[in-house]
Amino acid sequence: MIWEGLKTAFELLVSFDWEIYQIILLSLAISLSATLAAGVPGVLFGILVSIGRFKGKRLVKLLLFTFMGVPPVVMGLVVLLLAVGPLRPFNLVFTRTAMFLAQFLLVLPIIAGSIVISSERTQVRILETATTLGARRRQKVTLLIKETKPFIFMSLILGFSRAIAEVGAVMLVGGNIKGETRVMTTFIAMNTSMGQFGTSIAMGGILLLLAFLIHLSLSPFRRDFYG
Amino acid sequence: MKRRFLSLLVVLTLAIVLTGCRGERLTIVTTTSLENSGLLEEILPHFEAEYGIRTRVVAVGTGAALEMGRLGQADILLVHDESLEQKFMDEGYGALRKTFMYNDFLLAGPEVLAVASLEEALGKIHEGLLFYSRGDDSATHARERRLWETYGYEIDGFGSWYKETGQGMGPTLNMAAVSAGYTLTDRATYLSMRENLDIGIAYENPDAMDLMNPYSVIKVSAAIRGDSGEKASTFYAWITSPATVELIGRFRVDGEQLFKPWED
Repeated sequence: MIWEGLKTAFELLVSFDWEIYQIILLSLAISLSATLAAGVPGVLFGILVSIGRFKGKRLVKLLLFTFMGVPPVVMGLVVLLLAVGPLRPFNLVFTRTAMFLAQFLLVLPIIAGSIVISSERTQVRILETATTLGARRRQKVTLLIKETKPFIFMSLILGFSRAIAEVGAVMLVGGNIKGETRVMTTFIAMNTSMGQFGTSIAMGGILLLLAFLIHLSLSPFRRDFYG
Repeated sequence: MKRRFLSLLVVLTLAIVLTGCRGERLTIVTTTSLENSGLLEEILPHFEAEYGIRTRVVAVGTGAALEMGRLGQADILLVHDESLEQKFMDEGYGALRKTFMYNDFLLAGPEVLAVASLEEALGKIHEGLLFYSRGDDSATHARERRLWETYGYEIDGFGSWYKETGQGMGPTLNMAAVSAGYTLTDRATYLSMRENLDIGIAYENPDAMDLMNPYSVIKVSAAIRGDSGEKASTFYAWITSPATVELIGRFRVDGEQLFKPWED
């Protein structure tokens, strides 16, 4: 079955069926843009929580870590309810924008949380050193971002992995509409429910291949990570 | 404390694993529409009590149900697509097949289509009302395509008012409801979801042959499934028996009859 799936994957790719390519491109576009868009506020929030000394920090971290585990389907449901309720005038139901929004919200706590988990101590140490050395505020910020770079990179990778792999949210808010909101994961879920396991495993293989290629193309730029 | 937590985890894992492999059950693979209707929950306890055979029900689309049958993962199939069923039998995967009950398809949507016939209803939708097609090669999807074709429409030329969801009946009805669209649905799924959804019957005609929806039972060939003893045969004989068919006819949801006994 899996071997046949690989053959089907190859056939899908070389058939140059526009529908297949459209599905792949849409997956990449939505998940990449959602990750990058969530990256800015997510990283900032993550750093603020890491270095901040405030009342209720424990609670903020607990909540942040909890939201890292929100099931995509629940996030999809929340966005869908918003779209049919208060956000009705924006006509978001079963659109790509809604898919972007759901993934954005899904990935945000993952990016922020993983930065806190991985580099809170490093950041605090850097800040202390910079302060003893008499660095100015702006220098501190640049230093912090520079030294946290590998962790930022990791958090973005984590966020993107979550986004590209999830099916629950995009299925609910996008609706898997042919030619409009169908992405790789909903395509796989659909074909599986139709009993077309070969096509499903083929698309699964393509998804993994894409992830591999993305890492491969990133690896020269981040030797600290891949070296 | 830590150790106690760990041992609790181990016990829980064991419990889950062990309950998973307790006893051999009769595996019935069925369509989501049948599962949604609640019919099986109503009638299966009768079967289990009478014969002491435990069952488990897996609900997927008709296409996937037949595929699971081909892979030897089902004893019994309850499906509703005559041409796919026939193909399954012709390929030698099924030992026995019989149509045992039916209901009908209807158009669900935000407003009643004030029309005299199915042809006019489709015409009105074709003028540009939002329509959700299952788009998943299910029995309902196949029927919907056939209806369009029967009345002279080319689906390939439809505009963006025609949306293929590639999902099951429940999700598709749901999508139609939240975005004021129309869709073709079987009556059982519609009735089971009516209460929760803001959607009504746009067009129905229980007497139209076009909209008839017959369900069949298939006993998967022992050569494919392996020998399940007499269990599968017992079930097949039971569900096609006059007593069971009468039980099915008595099944009501909100006072409405969902399935009618099939008479040859």
